[in-house]
Amino acid sequence: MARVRLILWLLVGIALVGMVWLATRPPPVAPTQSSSETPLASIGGPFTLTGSDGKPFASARLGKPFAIFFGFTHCPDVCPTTLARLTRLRRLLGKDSFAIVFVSVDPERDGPVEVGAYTKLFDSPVIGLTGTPAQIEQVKRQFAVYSAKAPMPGGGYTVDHTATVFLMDRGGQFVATLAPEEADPVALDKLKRAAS
Amino acid sequence: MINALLRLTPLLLVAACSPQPPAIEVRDAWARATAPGQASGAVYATIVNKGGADRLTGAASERARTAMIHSNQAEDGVVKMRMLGELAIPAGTTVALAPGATHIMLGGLTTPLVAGERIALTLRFARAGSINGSAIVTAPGAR
Repeated sequence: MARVRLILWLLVGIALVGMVWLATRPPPVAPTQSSSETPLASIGGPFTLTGSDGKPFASARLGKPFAIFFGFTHCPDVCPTTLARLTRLRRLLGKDSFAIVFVSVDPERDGPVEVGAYTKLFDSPVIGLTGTPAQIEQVKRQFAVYSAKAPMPGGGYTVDHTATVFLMDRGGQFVATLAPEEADPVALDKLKRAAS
Repeated sequence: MINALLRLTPLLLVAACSPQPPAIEVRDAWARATAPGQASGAVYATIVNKGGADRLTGAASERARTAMIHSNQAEDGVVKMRMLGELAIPAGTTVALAPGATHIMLGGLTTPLVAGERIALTLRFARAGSINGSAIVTAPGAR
């Protein structure tokens, strides 16, 4: 009996080692010619998060081109500056030209209420989304967004995060990115392309 | 001769280290309105120095628990906001505290910053001392 048990445990051990090996081995190397295009092609995809009303919000509901930006409500400078810029650009293109989506990368502090109050600040609609840490991680992966908490002197923390805006077309396909340092004419060109 | 030069050296050093006094003026200080419950805000301004070199060493506002000089560093699209100990204001220059760059971060706001109001703001300089003024709060999408 004891021997059978020992053998069974050994089999369990071997199975575990095998699973760890399968999970951690490097993925097969992609052909070099497509490797430069793969990351762009894979940006985005459908997602479901939580809206400022506390209800699930599926990206399919957007139904129009959108500019999506990841930030956090304790962010006093870059996030409101970026959202303000997007609302200003949208005024130039027409108020229905594209949706502005703000996704919190700080779900521990940003619930639907916080995200809602933050996005309501702007004089034109910004869709604020949050979710469980797992949901946020998933969407960050879809958009290749990085974020990490960084402690601040005197307590609390700030969040280092990708400040790139992703422009997606009506079908949710990735079109272009906007960088903060880009001049408005360049940004408008890209937005027109996404909205066409 | 050498002796005389050596004797002069401390005097020359003192002369080199005490240039003309700074002449600081703070212009166009503004802050973006904040949402209820939002703990932090940012203040921007233009610092004009028509005199000798100085350093911005700190800030304060009665509306916030803390006011610190912060800068954003962007690496590969990732923005990192960090506290700067101080900010150099070289002689005869204009230094802008501007969105997306160096700014005064207000932490622990006592009440939200409301568009249209003025908030008290003190900027502290190493040589020019404290300069008291105010910043206008603008609508979040205004600039």
